[in-house]
Amino acid sequence: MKRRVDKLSGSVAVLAALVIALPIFAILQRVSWSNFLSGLKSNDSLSAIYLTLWSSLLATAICIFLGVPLGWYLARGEERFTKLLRPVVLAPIVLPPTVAGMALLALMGRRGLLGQFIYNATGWAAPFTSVAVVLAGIFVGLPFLTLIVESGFRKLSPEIEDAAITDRATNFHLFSLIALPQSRSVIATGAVLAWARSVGEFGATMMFAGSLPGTTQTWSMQVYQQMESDPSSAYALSAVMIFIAIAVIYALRNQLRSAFTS
Amino acid sequence: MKANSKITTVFASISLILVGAFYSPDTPIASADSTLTVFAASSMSEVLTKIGSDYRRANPGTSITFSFLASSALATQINNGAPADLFISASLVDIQKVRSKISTITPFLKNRVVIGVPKHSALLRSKDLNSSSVKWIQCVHTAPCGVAADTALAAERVVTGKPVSLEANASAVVAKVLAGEADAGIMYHTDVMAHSKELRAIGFRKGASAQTTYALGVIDSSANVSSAELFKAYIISPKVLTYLNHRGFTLISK
Repeated sequence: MKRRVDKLSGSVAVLAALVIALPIFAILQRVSWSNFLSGLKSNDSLSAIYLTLWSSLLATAICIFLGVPLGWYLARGEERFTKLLRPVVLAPIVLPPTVAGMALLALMGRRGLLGQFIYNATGWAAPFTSVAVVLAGIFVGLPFLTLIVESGFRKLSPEIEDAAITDRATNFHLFSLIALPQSRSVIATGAVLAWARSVGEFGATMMFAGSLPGTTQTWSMQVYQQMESDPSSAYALSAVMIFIAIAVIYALRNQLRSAFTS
Repeated sequence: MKANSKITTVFASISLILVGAFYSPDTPIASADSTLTVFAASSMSEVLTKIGSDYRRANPGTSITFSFLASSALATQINNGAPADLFISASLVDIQKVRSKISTITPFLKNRVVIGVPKHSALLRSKDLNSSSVKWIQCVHTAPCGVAADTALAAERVVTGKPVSLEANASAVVAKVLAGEADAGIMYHTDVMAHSKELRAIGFRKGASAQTTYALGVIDSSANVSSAELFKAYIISPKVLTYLNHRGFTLISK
């Protein structure tokens, strides 16, 4: 017998879907499709898109480089360390972006814990530079990648590793030759989530990096900015974001489902 | 049909719950017991917080909630239906954007932008901003403090460089200069006065071009028109205007 959804759950599910789908529909309905391209080209929008794409891709690459070993450590490291480390490194997932912005300023600002030494030695400080946009992207994206990658590593079958250990594989071989090749799709999923998180970052970037067209004014800031001066351009920019979001989730539907099932 | 009616019941009960949770009588409540929502320019956040608490002390039934942002952002929100009772704008342009919702617009103050720098700063004149090692910021071009900064810089014709950031509102500029992240910021004269222990001002020579006019008005569709009018009258009363004058705002002579 085929299992079905009961009517009550089904109706609430419909309501829930509407709660999410209706705002998306509403924004698309506001888009002026005849002026779509000119809306995307107006007032620094292209430079904001360009900045957002390269800074988020760079942030994602760094997230992969750092987050995969971190996920491996959380999955296989000593429990008494990992249980303390995990809540700290995953915290930005639940932190408000403004707190993330304050934290980055406190560390990397001109008078920051680390930033003051860099500034005194070189005269350079991260705020108001594109570097700050990338740093903000890493800070908010890395925890997502780490979370997904750790859960992927935990699901690997121990038999292959046991066999490799019998064949005298070193710990590094286990990671690089056994665990990594089996986790490619998990890493890709984590990377896409980290990328999505850094593309959408707004509060932390505005507080830490500032907002200047071409340097630090990202796509989401441009939407906020254009809302006041040129709403039709803000809607066009939002629509592209929505298309990208839906396309990414659709393309990764299988990976996402398996990444979140144990 | 049966399934349909069940779905309808579910929706109806959910709607009832939502309506119950958010229902409030839209008839004006007696001014003795009301909650005012005041949208105000971020450059007035400190003085208005003080004025608001004085007003509440004198009128225990009234509670006031302030929303401080750039006036341009507030005007956009009001035009999108935000539930403001009173709008206090740092520019005439932004309050004009909502004039279909405000029948009486009352200009009441002037303010001007200056270059705010830390007290110990080596910067002395506006042209010092041109040094490549100086990082200076201003408000975004749409906000009143940004408009004033743009016109002041254009009239002065000395500063050739660009700001390193266009901040969302006047308070953000002040905060980043106070935090030491920026060397200078084009901010309101009143903000420098309010932080006179930490900041000093470099004035623009053509002061008139750096000016902006503050205006306020009650939103016609407000559910609290009468108490909003009372609070507006309080703000433009001689006593409060004198206080604002002491805090660096210029009064508009009637």
